[in-house]
Amino acid sequence: MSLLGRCLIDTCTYNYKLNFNMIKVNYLFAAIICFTLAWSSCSKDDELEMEMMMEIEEETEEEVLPYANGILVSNEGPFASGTGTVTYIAEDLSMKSDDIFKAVNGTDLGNVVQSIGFHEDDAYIIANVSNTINIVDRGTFESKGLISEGLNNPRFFISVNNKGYVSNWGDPADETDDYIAIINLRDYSISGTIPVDFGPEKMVSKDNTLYVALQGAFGQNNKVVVINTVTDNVESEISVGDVPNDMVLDSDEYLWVMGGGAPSFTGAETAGSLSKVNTETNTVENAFEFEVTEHPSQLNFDDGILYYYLAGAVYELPTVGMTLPVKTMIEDVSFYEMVVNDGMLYGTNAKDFSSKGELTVYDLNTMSSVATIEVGIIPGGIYFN
Amino acid sequence: MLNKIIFMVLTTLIVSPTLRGQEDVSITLSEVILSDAKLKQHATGSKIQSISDSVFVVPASTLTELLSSQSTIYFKENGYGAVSSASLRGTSASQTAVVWNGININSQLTGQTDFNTISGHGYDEIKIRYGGGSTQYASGAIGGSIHLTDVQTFNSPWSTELGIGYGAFDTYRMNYTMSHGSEKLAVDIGGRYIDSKNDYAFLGTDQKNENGAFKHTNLNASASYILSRKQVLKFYQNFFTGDRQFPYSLTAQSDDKYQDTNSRSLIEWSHYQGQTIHSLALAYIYENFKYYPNRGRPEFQSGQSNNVIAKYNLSRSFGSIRLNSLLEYNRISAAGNSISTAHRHLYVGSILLSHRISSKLSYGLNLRQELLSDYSSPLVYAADGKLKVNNQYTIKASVSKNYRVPTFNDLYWSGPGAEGNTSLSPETSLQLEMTHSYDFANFYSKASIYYINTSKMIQWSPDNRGIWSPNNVDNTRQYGLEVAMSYVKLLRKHQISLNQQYSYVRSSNVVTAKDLIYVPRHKFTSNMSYQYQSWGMQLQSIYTGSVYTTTDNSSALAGYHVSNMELNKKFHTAADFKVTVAVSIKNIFNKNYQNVAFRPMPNRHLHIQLQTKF
Repeated sequence: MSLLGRCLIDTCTYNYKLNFNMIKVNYLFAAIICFTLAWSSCSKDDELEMEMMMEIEEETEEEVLPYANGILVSNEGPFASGTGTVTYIAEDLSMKSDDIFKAVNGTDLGNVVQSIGFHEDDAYIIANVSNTINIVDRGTFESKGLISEGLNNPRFFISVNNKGYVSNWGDPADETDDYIAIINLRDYSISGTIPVDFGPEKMVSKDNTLYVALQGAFGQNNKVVVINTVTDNVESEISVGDVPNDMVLDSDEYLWVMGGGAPSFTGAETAGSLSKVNTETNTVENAFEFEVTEHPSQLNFDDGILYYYLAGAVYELPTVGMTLPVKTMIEDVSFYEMVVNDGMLYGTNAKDFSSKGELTVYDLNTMSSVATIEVGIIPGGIYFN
Repeated sequence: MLNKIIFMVLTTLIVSPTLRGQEDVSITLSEVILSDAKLKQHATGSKIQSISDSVFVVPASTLTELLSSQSTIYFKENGYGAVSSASLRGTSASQTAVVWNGININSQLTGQTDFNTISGHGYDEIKIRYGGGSTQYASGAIGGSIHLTDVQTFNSPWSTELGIGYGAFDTYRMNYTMSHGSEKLAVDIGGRYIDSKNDYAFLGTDQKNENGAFKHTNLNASASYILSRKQVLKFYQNFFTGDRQFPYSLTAQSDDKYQDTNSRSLIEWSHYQGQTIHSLALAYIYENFKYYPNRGRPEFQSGQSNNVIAKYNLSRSFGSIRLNSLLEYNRISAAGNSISTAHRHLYVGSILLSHRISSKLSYGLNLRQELLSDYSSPLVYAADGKLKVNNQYTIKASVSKNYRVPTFNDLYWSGPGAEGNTSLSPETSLQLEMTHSYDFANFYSKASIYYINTSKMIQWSPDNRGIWSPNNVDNTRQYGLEVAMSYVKLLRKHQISLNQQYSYVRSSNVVTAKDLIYVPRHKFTSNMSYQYQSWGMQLQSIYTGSVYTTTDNSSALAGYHVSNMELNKKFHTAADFKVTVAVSIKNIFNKNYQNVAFRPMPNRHLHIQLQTKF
């Protein structure tokens, strides 16, 4: 049933798209396929398709969680106007569904879908420009709530200590209005805010401690703030290299912070850096310096090894490594987002940023690509359901 | 090096014209008076469309509104009143030149003109010259050029026109013109003001076009003074200031705003004797913008450019041949938050020749070479011809090479995530076109076919560090068909005129074989005007075909059909005092449509205008 259900959703999504394109003949053709497969009346009118998708959802919801296993890719969507989407890819990479949020709920996610965070069965989908978070059931993608107040340039979501935390830039021109919004995970309300220095971006937690990288919004910052989620107070700040754009916690509970360095247009270009933070003392124990013109990003950890992206190539560094690697593992790629998970590396290519992007999957043992799948416009997030 | 040789040859030709011929083409004052005389004299094979705004009493708010309803030019408008760019014959936004009294006024920063920052009313003549015209109108005249011209009339009495209007979405308008021509001096002064809250409802939702207010002020002044029997001095000034908010879309709120100021000044001295006209012109074009990402805050980003132009033009007739040669110097400087101050010196030499072989056959040949300080520009040329088969049927054809220069942003941008590229070359375009005109009694028709191939298209794209920069990578191709028909009938007290235009264009990226985004394959406009005694009625119907919104053509926006109408009545209260009252309804059928994805356009709305002339 699940396969049929997915097939139906795909067909109807396709149908909707064709309708959008005003290609009437193909639209009819798709409508007929929909009709025969679903034994239910597919749209006679242009606007009935959504209802139909809802019907299919109702049929499947009791038995299957169609998106429970697999990969979710968040796509920012076109820059200037429009909506971001989420693409679902089956675990075995054999099939995918585009824009599953709209397929299920009939509405758009909003402008520039920045990221998705998870808590238990809920997925929190952040639309940065729209200043909203859509909360869905991560298995069915049915909408469970919407946060549309109290956010200002939201970036990332993480749940710690049974609370949600969302980093917010505030107005990028104002370096003093940045904050972490605290989300009540029961009623999806904002229960408080924690002011932080400017440009809070990615977050990592260890027990009840929350680490927030202050990347610096459109400018540059160089700190990681440590928040105690019991008191929701900032406990300390750790100075790291310029522009901390990514963080991971390794299996020995060291926090690794990737600093991109200040870019050349600033007139004061600085080198990228990789800092190893002891989470017992919250101090930097060791730091690797890149060349001044090198600006690494996309830090990942898998099975004792750190992976990062630098100028079109992927590098790996064992956590016990003493020097930065010179050998590239994957070359000549253009990753907008890169995630390593369980022996596989997933990288997205946003191409020209105004057409559909691609997700390429690599096997870390062979460093060769296993599959390339077309996703949505500007794929910026990769998650595992 | 070759460029320099060609430039030298062109300039030598200008300084020492050696051709001789019979002097049988006399120079009329009107040729001297018109600053953009080339549009008449050197357009043998070009298709030119005159836009008339006089049938409508309620003035078009912007040039976008005027041209989108009366021509097949497609405009991409980021919400009504917001940034608007043109696509003529399927070409890109920077491949249409806007020419003000003979001077190309496309922004030096973006290479484009935002058609919502130009008044749709207040120019004596608005013409569209279809197809390549770089030899005369320089960079960007690839798809075509839009000509805004002020014309003064000598020996005309004082005339003053004052109009006020009010309409939906809290829209206020005011316009004023005053003109007078004595035997020696002709003056024309005008001002327009429009202020709109522009908060129309997004049909089918509970949202509105919030943060969409705009306010424009446009001032024009021009004068011609006959210094002696052989000399005329002309002066033109245009000043525009706009204050716009950039509106919400269906999925995003906004609080940004944009202020821009444009000033254009031109002074021209002409000397004419026998068959020779010398003219010297000095122009100063200034543009300045301020972008506030959050209008509640003081921070803004800004940019400005200054362009000083000096031109010497020598035009001479040798019997049936007219030769026009031009020497020009431009000094352009630009500065802004993301551009370090940059200067450009530009020298131009060009020769235009038109030859009337007989009353049936004529042709033209044009050459232009530029020398620049910061990149090399190609030699461009045009050859065109006209054959009058009989009194009803005329064939025109042209072939030309045209270009679009890299803008200051393309070359010198330096900001977050983006870097200009100083090694860019101009986009170059080759094109062919043919127009057939058939006029019969009250019926006029034109059909054109064209082919444009543009290489070295400047395309911004990110590298593997995610930094965006421009490169000459793309190659685009357009071909299409345009059909225009008009019909005028006068029947005692009834007057009917009909004007229909249709265009079909295929515009694609040759590298990817995909259609360019935001170019409709079909556009159809129909304008009908009916006058009975003092009553007038206008009906307007515009169909815009669907457009792709992504470069891989994976999503598209549906086409739409919008209709407008106006009803007006003239009252002659006194011999020299005329009053006209007009009511217009835009989007009569309350169509819910989008011109740019997720940006709904206005629903049905009403406007009332009171116009007096004395």
